[in-house]
Amino acid sequence: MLQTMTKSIQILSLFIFVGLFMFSCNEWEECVALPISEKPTSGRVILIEEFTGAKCPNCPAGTQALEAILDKYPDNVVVVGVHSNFLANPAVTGDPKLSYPEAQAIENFLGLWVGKPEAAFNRRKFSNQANIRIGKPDSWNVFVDEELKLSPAADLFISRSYDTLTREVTVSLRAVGKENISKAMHMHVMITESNIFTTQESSTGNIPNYNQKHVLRKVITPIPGEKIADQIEKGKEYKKEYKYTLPTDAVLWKDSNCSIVAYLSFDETDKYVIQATEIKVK
Amino acid sequence: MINHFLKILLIVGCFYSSQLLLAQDNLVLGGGFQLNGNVFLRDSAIGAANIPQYDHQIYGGESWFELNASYLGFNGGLRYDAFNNSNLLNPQGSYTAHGIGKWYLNKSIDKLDLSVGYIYDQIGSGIIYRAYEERAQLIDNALIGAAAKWNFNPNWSVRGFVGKQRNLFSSYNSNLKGFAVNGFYQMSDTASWSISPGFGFVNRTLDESIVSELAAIIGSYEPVDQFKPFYNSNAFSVFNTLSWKDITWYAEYALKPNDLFYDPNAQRALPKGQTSLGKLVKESGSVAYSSISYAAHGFGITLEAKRTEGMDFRAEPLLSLNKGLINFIPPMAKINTYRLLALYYPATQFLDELAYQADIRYGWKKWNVSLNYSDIRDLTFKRQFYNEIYSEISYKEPEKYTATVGVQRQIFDVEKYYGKGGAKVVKTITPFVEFLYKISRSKSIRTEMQYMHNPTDIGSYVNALLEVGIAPRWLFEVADMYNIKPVKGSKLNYPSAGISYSQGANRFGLRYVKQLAGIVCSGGICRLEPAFSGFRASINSNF
Repeated sequence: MLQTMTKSIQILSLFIFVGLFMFSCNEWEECVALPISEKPTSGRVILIEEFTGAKCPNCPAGTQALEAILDKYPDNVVVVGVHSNFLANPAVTGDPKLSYPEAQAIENFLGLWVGKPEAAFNRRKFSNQANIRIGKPDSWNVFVDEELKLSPAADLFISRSYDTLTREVTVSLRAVGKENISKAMHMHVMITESNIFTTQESSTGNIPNYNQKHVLRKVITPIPGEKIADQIEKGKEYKKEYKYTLPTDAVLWKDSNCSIVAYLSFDETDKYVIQATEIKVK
Repeated sequence: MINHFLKILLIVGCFYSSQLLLAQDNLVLGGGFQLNGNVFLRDSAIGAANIPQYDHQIYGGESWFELNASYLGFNGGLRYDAFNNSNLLNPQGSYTAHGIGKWYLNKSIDKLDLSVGYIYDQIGSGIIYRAYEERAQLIDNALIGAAAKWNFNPNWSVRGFVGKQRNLFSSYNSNLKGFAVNGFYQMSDTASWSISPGFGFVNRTLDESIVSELAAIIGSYEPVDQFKPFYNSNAFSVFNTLSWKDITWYAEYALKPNDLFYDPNAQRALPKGQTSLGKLVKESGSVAYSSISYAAHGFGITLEAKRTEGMDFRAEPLLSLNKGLINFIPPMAKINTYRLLALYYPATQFLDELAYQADIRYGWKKWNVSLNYSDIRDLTFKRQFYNEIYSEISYKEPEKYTATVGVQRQIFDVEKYYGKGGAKVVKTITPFVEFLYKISRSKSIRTEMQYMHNPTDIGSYVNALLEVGIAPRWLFEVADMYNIKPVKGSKLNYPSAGISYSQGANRFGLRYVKQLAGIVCSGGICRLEPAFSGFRASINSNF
């Protein structure tokens, strides 16, 4: 019996030795070099929809990540903060409610979600991701870089005029095809507002006077966009004009804080955003 | 790939069928069927709204059909899974899919045991490797691959496995392989002590696409947070059970050196000098776990302790919540069954936990006493995540009645477990009573009641249940949970009523349920555990 035990312990020791031998595998293995981030030259402006809310404790981390992306690519990124679902209720009583039925409609339009914060990058379903919406803000730079490598299939130019008395804004949009693509092209226009100060839940407690930026306030076009072409033709221009009168409100709808966001996409089955642009209302 | 497996199964099936005629007596068939059907009734007052099931799908469900066969030393099985508008996978979404969820073939040749297909196994207590199914949460992380076990002497065995972890109807992009040695030694048949030592090893090799993705993410970090990713991670475990007279002592130590994983609490530098939480890290992880128990003469005591640091081990490092878990770390809190006692349960922390638990039971004549104490803290021992004191005493008059009374006190760190920053620590006191009365040999009535005193978070609740059983077929129940003292909002009822009917190995159930919702945050991601309003039907069969 003792012999059996000795033999068994010898075998066990052998396995432990083999295990310890493999212990240092990481040092043997050829480590993978990190890619070098390059300045975008494609002329692409990408749309990032940030799914957030005042009652979402982890969302300030997502906003921070997006602010860093905006600092890095100020001319190539447009951010829209989509406040919807239960986490978008006010963190304290008396704060303005930033959730909005059209924000909820965008959530529903983009499909499955896991939690917040999440972000969609040109509404692209990346091959290594389960959904269009992606969590883990530390990874978001990667999806931005990947989209910025691609040239847009169409360019989008925006101009506006604003009547400060009537608060009516007129938006002129001109899309120019850069490729021939036999897919329908849709136009989207919306209003966002920054510098809305509310209480925000965070992982360390409530943050008073938190600056809510790029908050989606109004979707002027239908949620799937307005179809402006049955197919994209290289060199062809597509023009549209939209008018919207900003509501008056004691707290919200400050015209100097509002921006117009416009973007082109394929149809509602594809959803992919071709090019985005942004301009201040005032 | 699945088609290829189906062909193999077809061939095996034909083989079984042909042999059935010749040696029908030796063929053993068995299996089971489970079906859950849900009717979602929108109730925005309790938060049962804004998911596709409540908004427009209305109906949903899931089912599993499993068939197992044994013949001439071969064992095989097949399970077909179907999900239709199911909210099991993601409480916020709707999942529809169907296909072969599991198959396996197994054969023992002399001292060698061989398996292919979907394989469930664990090493030690599961700290470095556990492939298991938890259907209520749709966790099924079987290994899709091959395994072999060699029983090289009557008390010692070595086994190895290789494969990929199941991900619904596909698999994750990493290869898992490992081995374990298990043994048993007793000096003689009359010796008062014995040991069962073991050792385990698991390796994970990431797919190239995953490593490229990791390199891109880490490359986008500020230089201070950057490191070069790699393909391989290893985990080791040494464990032993010592039995001496009425005492059993289990001890395990697991180590995961230099793994690459996502730490939601790690600070990540941002370009302008600020920091944000959550990043990929290259760090070692470890778990030390021990349990000692004594049981004799109606008295039993179990003491457990566990230290966990950086032991998040997944098939792919970017997965979160309950996705892709390679390991399982034993929980260190009492699993309560009464509804209000189970509302606050401390999820096992993979990255930072120091926990201990004591459980004492004593039976004397018709009396039974049960005491449980558990305490969970951070690694510095300064911050208390969870504390529970549970006591219960019951009196049983055989064939007549059983009366149980007890009280539970909980301290629950909502900020830690639910990610609600700045939220007050929940402190509850919950007395409970249960009375089971045997009207006759076949008829019984059971009632239970709990009151949870909770001055914070969701407020105080009361729960009552009445159950009538007519053996062996019928069971009727009616219950209501009511927030008798809400912290905010209005007082709401959460009623439920159900009926179940058993006939042989078949059980049919139908329930009307209103279930409380709650926010759960884990790994930096928050998700809503569903408020449920509607009907639940179920069929369970075994054959």
